[in-house]
Amino acid sequence: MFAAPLFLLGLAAAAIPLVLHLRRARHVRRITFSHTRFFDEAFIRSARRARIQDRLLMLLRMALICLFATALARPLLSVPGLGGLTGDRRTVAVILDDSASMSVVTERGVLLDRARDAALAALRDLSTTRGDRATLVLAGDRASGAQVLFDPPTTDLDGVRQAIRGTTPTGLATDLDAAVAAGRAALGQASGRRDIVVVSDLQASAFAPGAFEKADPSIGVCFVSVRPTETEGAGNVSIDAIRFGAARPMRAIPYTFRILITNHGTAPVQRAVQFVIGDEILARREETIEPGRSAIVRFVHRFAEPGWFAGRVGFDPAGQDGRDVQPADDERHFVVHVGAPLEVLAINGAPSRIPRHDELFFLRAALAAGEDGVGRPIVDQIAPTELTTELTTERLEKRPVVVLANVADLEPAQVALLERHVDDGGGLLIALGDRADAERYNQWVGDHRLHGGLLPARLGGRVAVESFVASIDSEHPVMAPFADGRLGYLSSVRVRERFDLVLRQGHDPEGVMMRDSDGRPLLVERRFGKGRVLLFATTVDRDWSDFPLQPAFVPTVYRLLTYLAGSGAGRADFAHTGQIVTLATSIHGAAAHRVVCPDGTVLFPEPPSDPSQRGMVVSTTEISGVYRVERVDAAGGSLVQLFCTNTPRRESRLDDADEATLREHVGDSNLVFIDDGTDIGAAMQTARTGRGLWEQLLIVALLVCLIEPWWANRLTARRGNAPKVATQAQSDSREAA
Amino acid sequence: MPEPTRYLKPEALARLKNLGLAARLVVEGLFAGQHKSPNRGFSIEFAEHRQYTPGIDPRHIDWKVLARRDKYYVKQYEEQTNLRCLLLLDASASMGYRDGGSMTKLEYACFCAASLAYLMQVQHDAFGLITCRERMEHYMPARQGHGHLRMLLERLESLEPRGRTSLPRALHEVAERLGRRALVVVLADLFSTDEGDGAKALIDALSHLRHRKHEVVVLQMLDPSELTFPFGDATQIEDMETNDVITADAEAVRRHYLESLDAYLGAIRSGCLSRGIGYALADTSEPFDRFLGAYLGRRHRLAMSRSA
Repeated sequence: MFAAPLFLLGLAAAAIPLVLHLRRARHVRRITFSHTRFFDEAFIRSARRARIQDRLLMLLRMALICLFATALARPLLSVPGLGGLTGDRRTVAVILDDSASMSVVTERGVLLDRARDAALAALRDLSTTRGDRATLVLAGDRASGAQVLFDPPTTDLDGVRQAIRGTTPTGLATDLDAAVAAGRAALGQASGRRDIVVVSDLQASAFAPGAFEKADPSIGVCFVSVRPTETEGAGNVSIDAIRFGAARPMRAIPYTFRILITNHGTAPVQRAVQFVIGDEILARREETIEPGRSAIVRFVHRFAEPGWFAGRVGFDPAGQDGRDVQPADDERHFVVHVGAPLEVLAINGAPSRIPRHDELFFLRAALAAGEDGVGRPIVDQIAPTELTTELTTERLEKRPVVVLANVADLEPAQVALLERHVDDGGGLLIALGDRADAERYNQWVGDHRLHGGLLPARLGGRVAVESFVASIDSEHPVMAPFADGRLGYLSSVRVRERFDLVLRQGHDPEGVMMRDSDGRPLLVERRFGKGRVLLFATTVDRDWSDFPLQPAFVPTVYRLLTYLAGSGAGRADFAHTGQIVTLATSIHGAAAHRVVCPDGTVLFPEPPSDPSQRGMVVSTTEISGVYRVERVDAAGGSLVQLFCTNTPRRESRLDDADEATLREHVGDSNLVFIDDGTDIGAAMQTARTGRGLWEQLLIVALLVCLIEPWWANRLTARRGNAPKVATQAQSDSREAA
Repeated sequence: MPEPTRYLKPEALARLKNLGLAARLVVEGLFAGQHKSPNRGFSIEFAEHRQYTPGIDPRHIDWKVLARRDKYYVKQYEEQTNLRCLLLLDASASMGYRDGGSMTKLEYACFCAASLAYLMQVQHDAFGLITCRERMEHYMPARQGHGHLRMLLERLESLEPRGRTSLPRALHEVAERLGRRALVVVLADLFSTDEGDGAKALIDALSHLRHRKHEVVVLQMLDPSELTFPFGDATQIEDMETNDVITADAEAVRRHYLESLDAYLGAIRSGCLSRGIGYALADTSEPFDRFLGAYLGRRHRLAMSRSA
């Protein structure tokens, strides 16, 4: 048995020395010589000996080529029990795929059950008395990397078997690259033979093409596929995604949920989708999905109260028609934070008795547009002269969004108050104007300020050059609807004057939401603790631009302020299982939070591994469901926010790779590929007892490589370095004369 | 008929003319020459008087002494003799071999013989030619004169390499046939066809000549290929004299061949040395005039050192 039998074609190259030898032997040159008096019996013996030596040399060269070709073909000696006879100690890393796709139910049972049997079969031939060791690596795509259960590998083989039996499917994706790497690291420099046995359904998305090509060849890798057959894998229907109708639901305003459902099977199916908030089933829709197509089911809900809500959408078993082999993707969770009516505290830097000359005239008008009386935004206005008395902590707690409109400057205490407010999750929009003092604003920036200061960018000089909005960040949740024109276009906005914004060192370039035709930033965002700050380079009235006169002004203002109002709620509502979820935290009391997992376990957020990043991270998110973040206090725990994780969509694609593709992905080197699910034990037996002979063959070939030139040189030297008869004879004869 | 001077290269002969041939031994000559003879006789230069005894030719009686003393005396002169040289040439088929050299061994030997003959003629020495193959085939007695040289050159011109060789047998025949002492110059490759004709048989034959008081010089002609055996790969080797064919990997058997050749040449060289026979090995890739010049110069220096 050979691991790479294609290299056996190289055996044909062994004919080259033979052909050369025969050609040389047949290519007889005939010469006429003056005499044959020295061609006696000894001469004949010498010629015969030379012929034998030449043939032996030819055989040696043929053997050399055969050895190399055979070694490259990686022969496996299949002699049961040979490992025991030779006393080789074995160390095996079993990589078990515990991803969501392993929960597929086929006619032969759950995939993970078959995988467990195969993994146990891989350990069957190991012996504790011989010193064999084993470890178990779970191949789910965890945030912390592949989970190695026994590191270093243990001789407690029963413990490893027990761990295999206790493995259950998770909602994780698969990362075989990381798992094999972890397996190799666990095997380390263990003595004896080292093997990695990968038991998985081998989804193509689980590893990168050619990931194992440059792997350590001294470690044998055996892939055991337990994937469902083509007929078994057919018939899966999955809920792939939930799309929200707006960035944030508001109290009493209808909010749309769009559910994306995909039929991966080969026949039309009918599904009943349930919409659940909390534990209450609020709606049910039936949908027929054509094979290979997706459908969107829409639910609209009006939240009566503000606050956090968790829900889910899933298939109703009662309305199920046709097969569905993958239960892990039949349900998807979501969380939403329902905001109260938008309440804005606006500091008007240029108030006027003439309404249209007032700095906030257009902003107030925009927030009042399309009002139906429900959820009316509240704009609380303060004049600069009242700041000392009116800008208080209590007032800021009631108004999460603050707008500075053409304000000349703030006192340091007022700046500190705003910093604290934003750090705790508030939003701040700074619009500039003719009264803004750039030098005073720039003093808000520096190491002496909280988080380095509020401003996303330093203010440069005023630029009175007409330009227009040239580009927006189409990926930003606020700007995205303007990229495709759903809410109008911003490209028609003309800017006559603005401040030059100088991005701060280390500022994320993606934080620039809007640029003008000169490529200069117009609207810049910065995260600040749990909140966000937006800096607009021009005015919010029509003094410096015609933006307030454009149709896109109203939705832009509304989306910007709504976005700022929801900044403290966290944005990790679309995390997938195994993902590291970052919780935005303020500078105060970050350590006093805990996270209650879907299964009821409690864990505590940790600081991020990168010290430059702020917030706290939750890295144990293997279970799909809703996670509850609580602030630990005397009452036991008050809700701070919710987030949820769902199984990645790629776990729903079960039939994405044939054997040729898999071979291309994993490479042929040192690889035993077993794809017969019906006889895993027998196939594993063959693979396991196959003893790699290539190293021994390469050693022999190396010895032959050393012998061949030595012998060939010796023969050449003996034949070529004959005594120089003529010179010596002539010299002697002259002396004799 | 054109002048048969094919083997007389003027530049070669010009070089040889200034060297002279210094014989190791004084031999009897037909004509007075530059070589002193131990025999007193009748010649030009007076040596002494001796009392007349009956039997001496009355022409040699010194009549002046008879008139003064009334006694019969005869004049004795110190006689000068010429060299009597016989060039013995092997004309067998093997002498026609040429691979690495500029000419065949026979051509090379003919050039050497012609040069030596011309030199003899200039020195008023007698020279002759003997050709042999399995036996002695042609004998041209030693004589002087330009006409004789012309005949010798014509003979050399007409030589063709053919037939087998049995040089020892030919040498024995020559030894039996030559009456007077002479300088015998053997020009051959010394390879005989018969299995038994090894180095010992050859040395015995040369000793036979020495036994007859002849001065013997052996000039062995070999082609460079015979000295180095430069052949490679599988080779069929055909004997030029016997037409026997042997197949062998020439490269593989080169060492054996060269070792055997070395032993053979060593035996000949030591045999010649022990019996006072001059010996030189000529590589036919070397210009023959250079070879002859070097050899004769060495002989001359040797003779001068002995006479001193």
